[in-house]
Amino acid sequence: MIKAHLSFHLFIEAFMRTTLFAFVLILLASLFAIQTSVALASNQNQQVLSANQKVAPKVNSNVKPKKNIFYDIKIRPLGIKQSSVSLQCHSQSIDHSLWQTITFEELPQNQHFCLRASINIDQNTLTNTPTLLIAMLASAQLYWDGELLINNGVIGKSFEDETPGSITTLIRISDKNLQTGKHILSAEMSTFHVGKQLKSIGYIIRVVDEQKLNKAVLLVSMISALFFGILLILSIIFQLIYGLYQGNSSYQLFSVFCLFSALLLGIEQAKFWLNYTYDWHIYRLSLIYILTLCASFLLPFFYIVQYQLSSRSLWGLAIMVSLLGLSVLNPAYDITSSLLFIGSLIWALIINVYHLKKERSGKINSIVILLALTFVVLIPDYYSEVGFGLVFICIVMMMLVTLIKEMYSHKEKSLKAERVKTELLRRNMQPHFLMNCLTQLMELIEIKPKEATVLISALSDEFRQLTHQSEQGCVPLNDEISLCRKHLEIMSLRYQQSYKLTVVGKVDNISIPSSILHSQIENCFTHNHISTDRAFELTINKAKEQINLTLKTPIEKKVNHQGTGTGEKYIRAKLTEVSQTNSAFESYQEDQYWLSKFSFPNIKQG
Amino acid sequence: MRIVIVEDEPLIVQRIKRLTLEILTEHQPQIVCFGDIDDADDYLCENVIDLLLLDLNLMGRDGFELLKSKVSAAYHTIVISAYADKAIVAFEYGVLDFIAKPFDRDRLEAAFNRLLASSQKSFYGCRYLSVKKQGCIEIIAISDVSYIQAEGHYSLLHLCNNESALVNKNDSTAYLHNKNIEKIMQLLPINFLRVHRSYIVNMDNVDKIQIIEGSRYSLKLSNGQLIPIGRTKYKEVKEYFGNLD
Repeated sequence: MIKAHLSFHLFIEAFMRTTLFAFVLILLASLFAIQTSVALASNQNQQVLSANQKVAPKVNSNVKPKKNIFYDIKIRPLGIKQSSVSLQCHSQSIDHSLWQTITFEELPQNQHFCLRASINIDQNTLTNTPTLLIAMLASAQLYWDGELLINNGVIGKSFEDETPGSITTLIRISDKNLQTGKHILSAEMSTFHVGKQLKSIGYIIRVVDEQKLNKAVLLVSMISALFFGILLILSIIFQLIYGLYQGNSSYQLFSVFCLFSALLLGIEQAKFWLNYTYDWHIYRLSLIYILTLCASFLLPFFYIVQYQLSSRSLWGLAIMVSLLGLSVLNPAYDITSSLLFIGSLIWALIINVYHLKKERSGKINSIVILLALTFVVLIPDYYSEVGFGLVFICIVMMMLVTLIKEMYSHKEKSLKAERVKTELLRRNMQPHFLMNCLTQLMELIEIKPKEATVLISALSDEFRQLTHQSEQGCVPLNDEISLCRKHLEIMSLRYQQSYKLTVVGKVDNISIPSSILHSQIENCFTHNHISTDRAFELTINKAKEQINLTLKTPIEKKVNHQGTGTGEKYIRAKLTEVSQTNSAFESYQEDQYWLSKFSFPNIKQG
Repeated sequence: MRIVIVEDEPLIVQRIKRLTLEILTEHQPQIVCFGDIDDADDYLCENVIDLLLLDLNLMGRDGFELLKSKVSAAYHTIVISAYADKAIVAFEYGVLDFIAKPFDRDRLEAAFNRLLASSQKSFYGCRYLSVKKQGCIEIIAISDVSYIQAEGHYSLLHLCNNESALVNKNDSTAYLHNKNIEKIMQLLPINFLRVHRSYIVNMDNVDKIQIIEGSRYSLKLSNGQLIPIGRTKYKEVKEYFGNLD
């Protein structure tokens, strides 16, 4: 049984270590990938205008606009009776006085409008397969130098008229349209299907290299898929561990956290491989919001359970309220998720630091969370692209490390428990006790055979009880007392004295770590001269669920016997088995008595 | 015969006392019992005894220190212990016998016979001798002992590779042992021979046999010192060398 138990343990541990190793490898790979995509991006920086780049709304006439980048983006709303033709939207040069200059990020929501953007093409610096990439939440009819390029969805004057277009548009532009010089991209757009108010609906408008774009998308999706797979497997494995092996709730929390992370990662990355119509965007965001809320709650809560902090529900409530508060406070829907995640990291940090102060462990956890937090807060744009996955993976790794450590200590603990069990038997079979008893039996057989029989049956009773108790973690106090009395009976026979044990207090409904009183009485006999004019006295005190026992041993004087202290070790080990924090044992001399005080929580039987 | 028993369990004390009285009736044993060694110490300091029967737990360090001090005394020590696996170590330090618990009458009798027949050696030769010097116990490895000289009720231990021994007979490296030469002889391993009424020699340290004036023989030690061989002992010495060849 124990062997199978341990080998399973070893298997799990090996699996977890392998996963951790794989994580590190993938992390390195993704760092490499990021570097590649960053290089890609910087290569294109000269040619494209990223929506993320904050460009002054009005281009300073003194500064020449960069080559191959859209600039001077202007919009003009269309009234009910106006059309793009009436506004001369697609004409080469028009009067711009009624037009409003914006950045692409600031595309108006729930409107019908015209848009114009200029670009200075330099054919020499263009790449092989120049392609127009537009990602936004809008239906549009796009024109290049007054020539129709593409219809994305059907534009309409109202919600009913409009048929939403897909979220990304990718159009190869023919070389004759890319002569060196100034070109105009114009469009009629409607954005009635955005739904909730978002921070931004224009994501990107660039001329990119199609091949490079595809490569980058492939790389990012591949890594995401790997992470997704690992997270999913981790989730399943830990659910299995929780269900089949060890019902530790932190394992289940970790499993659920992994599941949510996997889903979150998958949905977050969906934009790369799923070209949906833009009205679905809000549902995707909602899903991300819900998943982030769950994951954000689970992360700090995992640490609460892991560190076994008291008043869990209070912590949980505080976290939930603060997270919900965050999401209510913020009007723009699309950045709520980031805010939630930041809030979650802050909570995790608080809990870890709290634990660090209390227990002096979990230093690395705090540092990693702090790093993740600074990363997310300081470089939010970078975070939203690839950083999100990285931060998540780092945190999952930290949790995994914590769990491996815990598993290890658990294994140690169960081995120790085995040792403690055998220790009890070994100690009672030790030569000092056994051989002396046999010598006395020899004497009794030769002198008083009747007393020999009494001693033999008392000894066999004691051994039987001890063997039985060594299999038990806890036993009813009554049983323990009767074992102690049995021992005193044997000692009385051996020393030709009469030792008694009196009990003060209620014995019922109390259970005690097996054989600890017995061990202490035995200890007292080895280390002291026991006085016979007074009885041993056991005082039982029950305060709520905490049991306090005081054993008074009448002594004449202390013998500095060659004690190895195994008795005390056994008692302490037994008490920590019951409770790490709420158990205590002390023993000292007071006048004519040796006092031993035990304190431990009562374990319900049944 | 004066015997001290140190044992804390009354039934075992009773057993040792009863059996001892039975076995040693002819020697009119006077037995004093103590519950532990601290109580016995005062008595042992002030009284001359012939045998200490000691219940000793040799598992801890304290037990060993205690043993070292007891074996340096003038009387023989027999250990009666539950920890039989430490018997060899006890012998090495110079107990006359080691009785493992539980024990019967025959085992105790064998131990007493060893005590009474001074010609009989202990079961296992000691490897150390412990000596009281200026209130401290010093442990001397038996291989370092060159020869032992009788000094009244005591014995004088002379050590090997000690040039100064030649110059000054009363040098500081000669140790006085509380046991007389007969009692020490009982504890020593077989390479120690009683070559003279007053001398025991470590034969590993002997260079050769020399004949001096008339038909008297002596042993030349490796440091050049001469030890006389008793007339009755010559045959034994000769045999010892014969066995080596």
